[in-house]
Amino acid sequence: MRNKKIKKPLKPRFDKAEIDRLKKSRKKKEKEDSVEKLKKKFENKQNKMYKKQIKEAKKEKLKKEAPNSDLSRKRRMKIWLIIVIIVCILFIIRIAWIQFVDGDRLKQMALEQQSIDRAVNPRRGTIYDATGKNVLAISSTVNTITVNPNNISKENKEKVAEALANIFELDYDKVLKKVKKNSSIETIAKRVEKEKADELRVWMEANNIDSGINIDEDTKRYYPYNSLASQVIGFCGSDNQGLDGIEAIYEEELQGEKGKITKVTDANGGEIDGEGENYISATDGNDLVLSIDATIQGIAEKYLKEACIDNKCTDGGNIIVMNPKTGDILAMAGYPDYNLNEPYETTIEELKANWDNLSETEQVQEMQKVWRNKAVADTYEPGSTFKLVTASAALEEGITTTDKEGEFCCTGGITVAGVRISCWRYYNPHGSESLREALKNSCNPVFIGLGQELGVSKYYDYLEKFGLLRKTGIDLPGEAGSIFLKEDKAGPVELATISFGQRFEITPIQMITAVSTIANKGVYVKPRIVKQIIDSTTGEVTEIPVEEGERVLSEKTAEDVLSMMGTVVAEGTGKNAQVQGYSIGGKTGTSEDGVNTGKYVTSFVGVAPISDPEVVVLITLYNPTGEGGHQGGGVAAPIGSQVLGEVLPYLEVQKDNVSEEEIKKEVETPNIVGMTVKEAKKELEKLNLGISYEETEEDISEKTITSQVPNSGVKIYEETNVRITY
Amino acid sequence: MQNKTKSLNKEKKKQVDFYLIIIILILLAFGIVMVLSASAPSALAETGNSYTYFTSQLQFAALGLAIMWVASKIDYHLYLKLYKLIYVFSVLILFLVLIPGIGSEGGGATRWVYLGFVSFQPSEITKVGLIIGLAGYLTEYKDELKSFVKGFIIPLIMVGVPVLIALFIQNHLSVGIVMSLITFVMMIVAGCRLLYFIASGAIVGGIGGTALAVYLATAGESASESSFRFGRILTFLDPWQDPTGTGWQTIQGLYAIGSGGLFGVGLGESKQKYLYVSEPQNDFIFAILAEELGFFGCVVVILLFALFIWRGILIAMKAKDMFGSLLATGITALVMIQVVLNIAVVTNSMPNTGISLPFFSAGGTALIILLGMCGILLNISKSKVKE
Repeated sequence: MRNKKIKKPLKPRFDKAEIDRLKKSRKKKEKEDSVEKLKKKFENKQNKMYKKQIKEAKKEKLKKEAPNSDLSRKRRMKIWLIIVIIVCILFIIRIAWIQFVDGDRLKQMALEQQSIDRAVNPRRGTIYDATGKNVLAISSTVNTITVNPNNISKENKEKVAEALANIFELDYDKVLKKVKKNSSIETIAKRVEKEKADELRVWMEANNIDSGINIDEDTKRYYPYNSLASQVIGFCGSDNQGLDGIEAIYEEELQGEKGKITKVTDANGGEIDGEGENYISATDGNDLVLSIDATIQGIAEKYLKEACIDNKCTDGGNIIVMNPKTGDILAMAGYPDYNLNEPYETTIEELKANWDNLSETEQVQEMQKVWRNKAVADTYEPGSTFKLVTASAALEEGITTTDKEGEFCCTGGITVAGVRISCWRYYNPHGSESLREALKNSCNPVFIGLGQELGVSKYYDYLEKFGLLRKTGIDLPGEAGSIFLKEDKAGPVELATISFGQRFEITPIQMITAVSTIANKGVYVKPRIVKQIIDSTTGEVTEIPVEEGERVLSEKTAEDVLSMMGTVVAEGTGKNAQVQGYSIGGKTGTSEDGVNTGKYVTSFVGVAPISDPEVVVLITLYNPTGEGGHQGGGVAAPIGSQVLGEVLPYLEVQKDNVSEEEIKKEVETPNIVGMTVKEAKKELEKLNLGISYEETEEDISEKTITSQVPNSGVKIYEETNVRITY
Repeated sequence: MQNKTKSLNKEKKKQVDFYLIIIILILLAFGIVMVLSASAPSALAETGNSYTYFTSQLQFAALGLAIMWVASKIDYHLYLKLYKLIYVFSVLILFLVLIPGIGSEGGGATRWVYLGFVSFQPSEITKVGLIIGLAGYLTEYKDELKSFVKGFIIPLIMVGVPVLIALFIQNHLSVGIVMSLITFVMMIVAGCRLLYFIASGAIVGGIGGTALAVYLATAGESASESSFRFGRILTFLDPWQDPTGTGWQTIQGLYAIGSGGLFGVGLGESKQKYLYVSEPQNDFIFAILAEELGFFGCVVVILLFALFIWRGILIAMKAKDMFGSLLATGITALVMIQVVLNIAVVTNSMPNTGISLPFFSAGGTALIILLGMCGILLNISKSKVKE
């Protein structure tokens, strides 16, 4: 290094270069020598020993081997610096990867853990009946009480728990446990009435507690008609989710969309200052308008219950009332039923007494029986009502006509492929008869014969066309399919039994839909329960379209079958189903419930009025054990009369069967209380009414009437007597 | 005043490295702001006062700056004379944690010493002692560093003793890793043979691998003692395996970084610091920084550290003598290694070891000692060789 210093000033002097070089080398040597000398002197001065000198020499040796100069050290440091730069770049890439590649995912996950969401429950859609006026199911506002335990200070916890337990009538220890729990949110009470929630608000204000307790609006389902159409409507669970019936199957329409209150919190669920609540409002559920008419449903339920009790139907029964033109189910009653507002409490008297002694599982098992909508979910053997299908097919195919006298001859039975199948009146065969008479008599051999003539393939074609080989697709949950032998496995005997309605099972809804097809002049219509959906936000009404299927029968065939059904009710097994003023068509049926069970299913299917059917009704009773027996004509047909007798006037269906003698006007009973008997007689005569009273020997014409039956204002037919007391 | 001093000093010594001072001050200020932001929620939760960590960090920073100033005035050759003493003292100080009454439990291992008014980690002091000791030793035997015993075994013993003490009486692995790496860097820079490291690395690696295999095979029967450390290692591969246990901190750190985006959610706006990331003002403060200031903030911080290391290496390169050069190397290596390991842990690029981020992580002793070392570095910078 020192050399450099000397070198520089000498450079420009070229002429003296040679001398300089010599000088330089001499100087260098001199200097080096002097340094060496100095060193040695120094070492001597320090009194270094020989050992040390040897060591020095060793060091020198090592130095020569691999010089540890400043230069090489600097090079190694530079390498470190490069390594550091590379590592820094790698980190930047890694961070960029986390923030830009994984960023969205991580951010989302972070947000999820950072925020507590409280749901804002939408108002569940209302369910209306067909008139749009009667509310079958409605949600009212209630409150859900939650606490954020970590936001309730320690000294307040017991106070809060006590207040909550008192107001909502809860167990103090359980509430305290929740309040003390180390969690971000705990539910204290659900479906709390507004008054109770207000009580809590007042308490919170009075005690100056404004955080940690949340009162959120929720809704509670209420069914104003209790048990009406219970099996159709179904009920909701504690979270307002539909569990059965319409409530379940239209869950998506009814439930609406939940809103939420989002609050960013710390890891313990505590509040963060300056972080407000973010409110996203809920979208209410849409309203439904059913095809079910509450009045008709009420009528059907009333008579069904009566019939089931009178006839001791151990397995209950059901009634379906359907509009054949639109497929609207006007009523679908099942018995026994349950109270929609108390879906876990029985309404059956025999069970009520012992209800609390039953285990929860047993209770649910019992309830499941009444929740079940048998008209849709269970199959049965239709029996003779099914002869309508056979007759329709045979007429449509031109195999037979309705009124050809002596076309058939009942000998009490028929042999099919070596198997003897009897007519129900084998003891007194029907003898010579036309198709109309055969249907009227419900004569088995005739329909077996028609089935044979149609053949398996044709017959199954009609089963298919009548929709009996598939589910109807009605908008109710749990619909069962029919049970028929496969077409290729159905032999002549099987075809024979199917022809008169036995050895296969269909659901009541399939049966009534098939008959509706006849009533709708031969065109299949899919049954439906919901007519309209009303959007909760826009109020827009979406009509559920009537789904017409294919034409199964010509109009002529349909009319012929209806006419024969009329005869069944007018003169045959369906006599009990007659309704004054209306032409009713129908067919009765009785079948065994299963094989050799001794249980029967009795049914009646009715159509009215025949001229232009507006209503089809199917009554099915399971195992009637009463004195009335189990024959469809005796047990089920009268219910047809009762139901149609009320439903037809209610629907304002024009009377079409008013014969001369039956033109009886309805009049309003006058008020005759307070009149003398003489005056009353005159008054009643004007209205073509009679009078009746207990005969005595004394003259009563001047006596004053004290009471009358029926009361004034009640509508009665002409020529009816008004009974009086005096 | 300062100008006068400067001009006076110019004649005798080189000027102190002002770039380094500026970088140190920026890092320190940045760090304190981040401590304020990151620690507020946990300070509130623990002490009821959001500013607890911030205030103490501020005090320590002030004290640290004073110590830095003092250190920058002390001629570093003093340490060369005392290096053996300093080294032995710094190793012995590790045993303080064993003394009942002042040693204390924390995080599953005894690492802290409480002296009434102040508590500190003795291992922080040991790091300084080791750097000075090694620099002194390597300078004294600079011509024999190619020999196996003097150039490899003795420095290894020098670092091995405190590392083993830290590991066995404090269960403190991270400080051992840091010290080992500093030693490695210093030895390589000083000119020890890399070959020895490679050879012994292969041998130790082989033995270690076998030991690990044996441990794993028997771990099923008695896995409790070291599960604390071992859990961390496994978690690194897939933190979501145990998201609420060993994986928690890693996942929370990743959530924080991932939420940052390009410019972050804004200073003070971190959500992850609300008790999700545990002790967000400590080892994982970089994650909070990434959340609040985003990619941009991360790059700035990494650049600041890179500048610091650049200045440090420059000082080491230009130092007048080998001791100064090695001392500067050791101090720079300490910062470099801690930064690298910390960011690697926070970004889940290596298993969680618990190493703090210089200038940023809250912690009194660490900051004071770091600034003290910066003072030494500044003093070395004044001894630059004239060009």
